[in-house]
Amino acid sequence: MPTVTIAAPRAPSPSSVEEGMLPPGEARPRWFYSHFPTGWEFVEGADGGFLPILDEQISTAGVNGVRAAFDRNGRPIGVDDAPLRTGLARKGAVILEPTDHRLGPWKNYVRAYPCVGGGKAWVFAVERTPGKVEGVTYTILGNGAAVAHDAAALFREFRRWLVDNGIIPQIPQPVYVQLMEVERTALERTINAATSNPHLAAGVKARQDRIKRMEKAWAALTESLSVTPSARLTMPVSE
Amino acid sequence: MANEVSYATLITDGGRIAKILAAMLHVNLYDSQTGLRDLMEFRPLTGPSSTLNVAKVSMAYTAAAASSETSGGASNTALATGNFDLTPSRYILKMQPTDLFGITSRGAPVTLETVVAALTLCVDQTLASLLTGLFSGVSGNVGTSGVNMSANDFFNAIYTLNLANNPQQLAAVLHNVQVNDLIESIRGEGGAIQFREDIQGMFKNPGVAFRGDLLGVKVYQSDKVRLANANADRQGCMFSQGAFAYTLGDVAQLLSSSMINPADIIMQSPEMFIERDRDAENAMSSMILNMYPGVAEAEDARAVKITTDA
Repeated sequence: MPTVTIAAPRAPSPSSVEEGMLPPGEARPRWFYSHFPTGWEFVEGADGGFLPILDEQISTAGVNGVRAAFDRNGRPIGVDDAPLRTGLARKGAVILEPTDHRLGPWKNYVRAYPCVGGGKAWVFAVERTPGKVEGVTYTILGNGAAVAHDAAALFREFRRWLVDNGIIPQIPQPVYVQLMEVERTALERTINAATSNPHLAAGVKARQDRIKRMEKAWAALTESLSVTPSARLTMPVSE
Repeated sequence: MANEVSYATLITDGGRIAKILAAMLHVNLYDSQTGLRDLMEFRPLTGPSSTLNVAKVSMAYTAAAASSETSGGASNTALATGNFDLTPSRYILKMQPTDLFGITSRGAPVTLETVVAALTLCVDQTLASLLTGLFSGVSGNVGTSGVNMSANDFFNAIYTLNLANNPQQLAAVLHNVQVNDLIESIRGEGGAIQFREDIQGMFKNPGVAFRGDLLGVKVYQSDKVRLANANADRQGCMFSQGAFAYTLGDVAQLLSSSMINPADIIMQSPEMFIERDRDAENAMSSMILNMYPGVAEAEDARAVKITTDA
């Protein structure tokens, strides 16, 4: 019998977490983004401004009409989420289909990490540059616990891009008025609270400054568009 | 002797558990500690369709004067209705103790009863998880991404629901982080509100689930409240009764139709059943819980989501 040299032994994987996989508890169902016309917020910072709120609509069987789909042998092959999409459309939501080519570099914005046991954790992540995936990341600690790192800055960039490229229309004027009303109410409450809690005085200044920044951002927005970004009905006329 | 609880009855004698133990386990189906099903409206699954379509009238009308310039006389008014679909789907939980477990667990804190109890407890936990999956579909929103939840957000949610003519009884389901941030915020509240008993009550630590009644809103805490905005935030919700609905497929008819060997049923209720699957070759007995829940947002105006920093 000839002498055979076998391959070098491999390093063992950590017992609690397999290499490159998340613990089973991190599994999250597949989702897609939607945007409701009234869903806007003012985000502070150089990359902020009035940004659309995007909601993660999970495609899970049993939730909002989503049903499991099976092959002819009864094996699950995914879900039929058409009822969920219909319900969102009925409420005027814009659905951001991850595979929509109009999303350009942000196409396929939802990606999955594999989990131990066969599940998947679907998170926000994109590959704007070939071979370089950005988005939500995880650190696996020595005890097997997974710590998620958000992708807030990238997400703000995505939201700004959606508006700048016309996928989502600019914030309607009535929504801006409503946001300002909320801020002014909060300012009044803070002023009242500061009368008995002097340490809240700094909060009053912060809220006043925030309102000024919102007004400034709105002015810049309307100036750049030359028109108020909302559809208005014409005034009624007497017959 | 009869109805004794032993490993023999659990594993080899038809798999049925004792009645008294079953009664205890049935209590688990309704988890008063962390279950949230009471916050949803129950709709029994009726009809032959796989989807229950529920129509509801969500609007009150005023009559117009018979003769005035605002009315053209008696013209028809359509009855505006909203509707939602409840589509139950199969949910399973499987645990697979080995025979060695059965032999060595005698006197240990974890026994086969513990396994069955864990299975039954999952019913309400699953419904709670499904409920939080509905929050992102609510169109109204308060809170700001990346900013801690504050008393202002809580008030804004109440105001939003009030503007939509919601009834008095409100509930809020928030993530643990949101509850902590809210408590931290109300610590700084001044004026008359700081002397309210419910405000003081929020500073206690009642533990998980129901945290207290704050400004007429029942506040629940759940770590099942989902992430949002690329994991930067958590998305809780405040709502009134009727905002969300659920159904649970009645499995009793499934069992009565002889599709399943009765000897394999370890435990059953109309809401779920636990079936045994013996793998003799590998000396393992699987216990598989089957249930058929479905949840849906019933009325959008009855809810507002609360999106704040995680």
